[in-house]
Amino acid sequence: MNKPLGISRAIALLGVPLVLLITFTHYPLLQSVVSSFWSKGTKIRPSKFIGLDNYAKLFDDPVLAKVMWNSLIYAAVTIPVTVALSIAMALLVNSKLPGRALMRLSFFLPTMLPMIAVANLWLFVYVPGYGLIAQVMIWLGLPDINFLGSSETALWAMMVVAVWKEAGLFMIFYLAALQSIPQNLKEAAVLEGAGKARVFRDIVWPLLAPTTVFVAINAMLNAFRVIDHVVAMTNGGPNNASALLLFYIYQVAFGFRDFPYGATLTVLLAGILGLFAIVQFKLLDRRTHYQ
Amino acid sequence: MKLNRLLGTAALAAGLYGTTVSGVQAADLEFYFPVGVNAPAVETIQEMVDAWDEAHPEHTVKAVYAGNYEETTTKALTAAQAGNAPDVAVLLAIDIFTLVEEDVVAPFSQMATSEEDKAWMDSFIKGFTVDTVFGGETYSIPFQRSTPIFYYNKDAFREAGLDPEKAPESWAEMIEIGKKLVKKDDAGNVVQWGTRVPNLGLAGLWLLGGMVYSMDGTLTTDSGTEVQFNTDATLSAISFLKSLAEEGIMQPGGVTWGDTPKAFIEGNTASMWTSSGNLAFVNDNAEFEWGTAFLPGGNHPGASLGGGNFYIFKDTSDDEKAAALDLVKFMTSPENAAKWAISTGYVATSEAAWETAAIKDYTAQLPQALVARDQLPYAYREVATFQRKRVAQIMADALEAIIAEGADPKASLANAQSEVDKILADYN
Amino acid sequence: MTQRGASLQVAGLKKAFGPTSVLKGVDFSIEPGMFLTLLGPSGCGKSTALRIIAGLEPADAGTIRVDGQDVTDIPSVQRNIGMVFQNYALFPHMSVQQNILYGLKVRRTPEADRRRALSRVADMMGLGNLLDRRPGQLSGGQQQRVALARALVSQRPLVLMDEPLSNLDAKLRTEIRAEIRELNQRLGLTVVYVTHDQSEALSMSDRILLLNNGSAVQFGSPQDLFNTPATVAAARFIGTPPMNVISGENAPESLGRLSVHGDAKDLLIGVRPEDLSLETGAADTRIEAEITGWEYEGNNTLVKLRTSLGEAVTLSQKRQDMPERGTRVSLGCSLHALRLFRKTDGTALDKP
Repeated sequence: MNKPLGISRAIALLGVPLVLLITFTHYPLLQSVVSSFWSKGTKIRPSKFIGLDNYAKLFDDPVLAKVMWNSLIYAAVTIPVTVALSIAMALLVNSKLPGRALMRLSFFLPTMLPMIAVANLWLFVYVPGYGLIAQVMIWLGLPDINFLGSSETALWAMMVVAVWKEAGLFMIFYLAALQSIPQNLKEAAVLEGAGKARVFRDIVWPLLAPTTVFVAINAMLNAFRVIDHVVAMTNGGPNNASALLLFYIYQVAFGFRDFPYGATLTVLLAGILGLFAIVQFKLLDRRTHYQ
Repeated sequence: MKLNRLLGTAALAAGLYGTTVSGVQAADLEFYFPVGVNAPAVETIQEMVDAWDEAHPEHTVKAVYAGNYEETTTKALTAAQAGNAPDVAVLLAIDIFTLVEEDVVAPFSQMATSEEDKAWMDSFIKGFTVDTVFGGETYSIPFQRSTPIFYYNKDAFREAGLDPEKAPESWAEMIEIGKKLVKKDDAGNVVQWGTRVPNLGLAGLWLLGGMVYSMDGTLTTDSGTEVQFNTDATLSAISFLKSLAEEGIMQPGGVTWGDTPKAFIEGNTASMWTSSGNLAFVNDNAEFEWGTAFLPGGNHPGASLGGGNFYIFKDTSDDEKAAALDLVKFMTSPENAAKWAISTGYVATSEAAWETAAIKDYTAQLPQALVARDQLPYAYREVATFQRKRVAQIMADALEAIIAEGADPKASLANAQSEVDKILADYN
Repeated sequence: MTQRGASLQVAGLKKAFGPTSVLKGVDFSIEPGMFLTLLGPSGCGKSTALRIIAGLEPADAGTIRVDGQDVTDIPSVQRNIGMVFQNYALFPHMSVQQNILYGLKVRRTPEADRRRALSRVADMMGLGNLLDRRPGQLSGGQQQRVALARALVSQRPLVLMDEPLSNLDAKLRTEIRAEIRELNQRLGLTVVYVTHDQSEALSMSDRILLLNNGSAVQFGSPQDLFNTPATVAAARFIGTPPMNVISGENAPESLGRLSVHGDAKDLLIGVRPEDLSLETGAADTRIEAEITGWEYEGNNTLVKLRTSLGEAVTLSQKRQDMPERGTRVSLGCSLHALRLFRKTDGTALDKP
């Protein structure tokens, strides 16, 4: 049984994942890099090699600047809010309140819905005049808000949808983490005079750190990766106010059919995500091993 | 059941290959089509395709619902570039420049050459054929065409003391009547707006194009290489659009396309500007008396045309092209065009279709449907250029910036104009 | 260095979790500086009692007084009680120093006092060079010392310990047992200690409260519990190996004398293994038995026997030469070594 694996068998076993990885990840990325050096081409006007022109264009693209800024705000807001909300929900359903099974289900429900369904649901929530929020506002005698039709609110409306959709899933991870914290650690702190907030700050929060890193990585990836709601709800508008980087890539590549510039933007996105991954894995290595 | 039919047809087709009863070569057609309306379009297309299939047992045809217009164009182009083009597809009329530039479609004018064929190609209403021609060749056949019309709630008109048979004809009248239609609650919040003109995205641009046309301008010319965005006509149209919100007649900020019919049905607005394709939806859901009219205009009425045409792809055999041409003729025959218009609300594209008994029965019951046809003399193609999607997006962004961000119209138009000029410079 | 311990009085303590009654009215009282062990099998309620004293669970009924002050309804921290938890409950993300000083920090003790307190307990527990380590980097015994240091650093007069030694190996357990007892005596602390290990209880305690099924079986000194068990249950729980209990009904004729206290068939007779002998000579009483096996334990040997009436009996002796298995012997013991219990409720009769 413990006989060392022959080199050929090792290659055969490694080969399958390697082939998949190369075919579906490395090769397309490489292809993107290659095609980012070419101009947009059609059958009648073939594309030509233009060196770094597409990269130069990145710095001179007002839509990209706006989209990067949007993505930054989107990530900077949705990640901490998702973390905070999912912890709050996990604490709530982990407590001994009556009806927590129902709460658990209702918090988790948004996660099970496909993003497109969620987006449609929220379209009805946001629509001015007769939408859910509008009805409440009218009932309260307040003027309603044109959430999706206004540049000031559209991106925030997208963030709310994303947080609402994702917090339920992350709640499950936090719930598992909470339940793995020994009760007597909290009791030891209580006995020393720590109140509820202090117990959370000194004991629970630090012990949730590995989960928080995991959740933050995933929320970050989702912030750059999930754009279904943008497509379904605002199509990036008004005037790109709710457009995110990946949405812009989609628009450039498949809407404008400018595949080389789309590839250039893809290289940019891959670079950003790669950078984040490095930083966060460093963090994961450093911060979260106690035992 | 469907499978059985499929197998049956395949067996039949196989039999024909072996025996060659007639001189006709069997063709397996693939037909991509989009759906862009709230109507049972897929079922109707399938019925019509099945009918053709039964009449032509030597051929098979597979109708593929490929999503919305944009998705269908993307799929068709991607398939074509992979050497796997569909034989025939319904794609946006204004995608003609993209399709020609990608060199994937075959001109009808070179396939339909008999006298009979030419008569058929001449049978379509002129307004719709502007979109079909490039460089002297006809590349598409009008099929599912639409145009925006004015829908209004007659009950709301009566309640406001207005004549329910007299819709506003000019922008000035729209504002005057619109003011009377606005209803507020005790807190001073609006519960019923005067009108609703979608102003976001490409739909917003679509409606703007009609307004510009009513001021004797066009956003793009027939060449596909010129945009006339920064003009007085556009400024007037935008000024009218802005005044709707400023006068408190329309919800301020961005007005979405998708929510518009629902807002009308819900009584949130007393009138709306939207596609004739929503006739069926409004007819099925409105719980009040409603009417349609020409869109109010500047100098005269004006509207954009929209919707999709049939294209035949280049990279197919002559037999398949012949079969595809036959399918297109079948689908656009007066009876089928009428059937299609009735079940979806699209505007039938030939005069002959409007003469069929079926459509006469239909318009007798739903006279509102006639407005779209009658408005056609005042209608012009929507924004259409090479690099259409990018060009239109820049124009739509400028409109959104003006509407939703309060950007200066003159500067925004000038800025967008120079952006699109840069893009189109390659084509001039 | 010495500090005064606190007295502790518990009266009528009751607790139920849903339909399960865990404590059915428990009373005890100890003087300052005493070492009390709550002893009993698992599920007897000893840990619950400790948690109620600590204020981690509310009592359903009863009162708890520390130094005469009723603390039943006041929060844990105001009860001025230190606690060592089972599995130590050290904060894994804090260093040893942070663990020890956590309470002082929470209660905003001045920095200088903190430093002094730390060096005192670090010296006392021999943790001086471990202060910057994380608990995960310590051995079980070191973790135990940190837990003790954390409980002692605030110089609270009453310290509760919940099975603190259960995770340690046998040798370490004996060592730390002695250390804890020494701390208790040197510092004058009052200690309430929970264990299911009767030898721990006997070796450390001033007082033992033996619990079974939520009720006190016996409260007294280790000697009381060992020598005069109040019930059959107490007799069987305390001592290694436990007391032999045979039915009086089946006792040999020579035990007939015992019937002066009642009918022999209503009695159970207890005798500790070390009080039995294989001597054939002058013993007050004698039971016929057959050797079924034996266990050599080094300093003594346990002989397993079966009486002629089929009851299993264990005998403990110093002698190391072993008769063959199957040998029939007579068991002798002094009449004074016999303990008599009522068969009806298991309670002890007075000494014969």
